[in-house]
Amino acid sequence: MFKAENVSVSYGPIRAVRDVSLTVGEGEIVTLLGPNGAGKSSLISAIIGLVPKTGGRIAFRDEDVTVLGTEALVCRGMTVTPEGRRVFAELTVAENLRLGAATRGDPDGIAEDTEKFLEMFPILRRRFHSAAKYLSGGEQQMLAISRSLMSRPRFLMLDEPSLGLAPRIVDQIFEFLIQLRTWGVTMLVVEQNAGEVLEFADRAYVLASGAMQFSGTAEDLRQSGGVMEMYLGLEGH
Amino acid sequence: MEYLLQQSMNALSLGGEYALLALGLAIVFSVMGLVNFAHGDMITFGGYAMFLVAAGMGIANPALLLPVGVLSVVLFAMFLEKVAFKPVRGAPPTTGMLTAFGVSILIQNVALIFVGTRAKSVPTMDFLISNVTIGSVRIPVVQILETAVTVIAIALLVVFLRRTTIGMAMRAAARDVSTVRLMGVRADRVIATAFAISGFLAGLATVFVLARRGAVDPFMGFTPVLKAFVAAVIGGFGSLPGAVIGGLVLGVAEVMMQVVLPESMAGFRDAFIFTAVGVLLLVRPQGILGERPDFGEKS
Ligand SMILES: Nc1ncnc2c1ncn2[C@@H]1O[C@H](COP(=O)(O)OP(=O)(O)OP(=O)(O)O)[C@@H](O)[C@H]1O
Ligand SMILES: [Mg+2]
Repeated sequence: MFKAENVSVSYGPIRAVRDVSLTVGEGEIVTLLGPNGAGKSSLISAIIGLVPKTGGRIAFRDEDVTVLGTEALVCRGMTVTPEGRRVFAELTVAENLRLGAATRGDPDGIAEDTEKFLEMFPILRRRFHSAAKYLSGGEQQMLAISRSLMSRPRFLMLDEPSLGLAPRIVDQIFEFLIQLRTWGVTMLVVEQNAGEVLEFADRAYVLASGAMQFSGTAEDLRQSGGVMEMYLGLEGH
Repeated sequence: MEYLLQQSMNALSLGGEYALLALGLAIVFSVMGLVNFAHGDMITFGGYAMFLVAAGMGIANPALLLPVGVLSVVLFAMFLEKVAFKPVRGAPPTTGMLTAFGVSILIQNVALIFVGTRAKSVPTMDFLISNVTIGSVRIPVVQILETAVTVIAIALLVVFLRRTTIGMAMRAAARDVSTVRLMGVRADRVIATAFAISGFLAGLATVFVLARRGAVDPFMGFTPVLKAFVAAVIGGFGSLPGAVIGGLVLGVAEVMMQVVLPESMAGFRDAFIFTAVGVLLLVRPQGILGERPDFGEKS
């Protein structure tokens, strides 16, 4: 359903992403792993049109969307839950969710979806009318993911959803992602730590120094001790 | 007592005008980081539009003329955004600022060349400069209207920013444009709306500026933009509530100076005020409601 071919990103002389290709099939959870500074966020930002691509093509649901801007991509059903959550700090939880649905014109559907996420994350209901900046990191991540889902995406890219969160919260968020799959959302999950995400991802890519180093099933990656050790600082098994 | 009432009304209406001006400046600054020094010249444009309609087409009915003033500034603000500011959007902030100066100089010179240096009177504002007498207090109509219009405009703006999706997007964009785009909201639309609102506020101010001075000239925008800038700095640049408070503080301070200063020192009014602003900024560099400059991530 999604395909990126030979995508490159440069910041001036720095080539952050070099000729990277990646595909995600309908209903899959694919993880993109890589150490600090590998170019993961740059790749995601380039895919969603927030930073310019210096090369490559992007296709989504059999349509070439290479030249489309962020807003058009979101309207077509792609979105990103950005690194560091980026909730709108001064806006309330309610307003954050409402903005997530900015592309929609069905008030009833919006209300229904809002209710669904409040059901899912009761803390968001308790904080519904307070500013998002008063939420804890984990709560902000729940809000950020819910906000992304308010646009009813078919393809959701999450940039390090576990960043800076306590293990218990990370588990809760990953469980939610697994549930999301049953709702028919296809996902690309960016992570630095391979450990947990490999337990539920179907396939994995490993990016380092801007280039793709590995691609295969999650199982393959777990078996290949070399890749794990070299790029992800983990012992394979 | 009467004197006190009169001066309070004076301070309130002047403060209201400054609040409108500062809000117009602040709303554009908050969404795109641009200090629009051509803000005052938008007022000049509105003034000339009213003058041309009044003199050229012989329309003197204020019910027609006042909307012309407001609407022309809204359209002009949106036009400036499209032709002048949009092309330099991704550029460093100084480029935007220089563009605004360029636009300002251009408007002033176009007015100079085509309409001339001499001030042209806009004679239809008579009803605004009349007075109402309440008991023994005489208050100019313009002051009452100005205060009321300011309050209504601010209330409308608050409702707009809180209740509409595009309003929420504008508040969010003040800090994080990229993430607003991730919501599928076009940055273009947010910025165009900011300029339209800025133009609307400047358009309201135009009517009152004209009512006070009764005439247009090519440089009439200078004082308003200066006041707007000072008010915004007092309140905290980029903060919308700050702009309102800054405007009120500046208006009250000016009227108080007028009352307190002896005749012989009246000319030093602005010197005293700017000194006070300087002291304020030493104590609170970010202004009354501004946030300390944040050198962390901002994109
Ligand atoms: N806006 C930018 N300007 C210049 N260089 C940048 C910019 N953003 C990222 N880089 C550089 O590009 C490279 C890749 O960064 P990127 O943020 O994409 O990595 P990442 O894999 O997401 O890292 P992390 O796991 O720390 O989030 C790094 O060397 C980084 O310094
Ligand atoms: Mg990153």
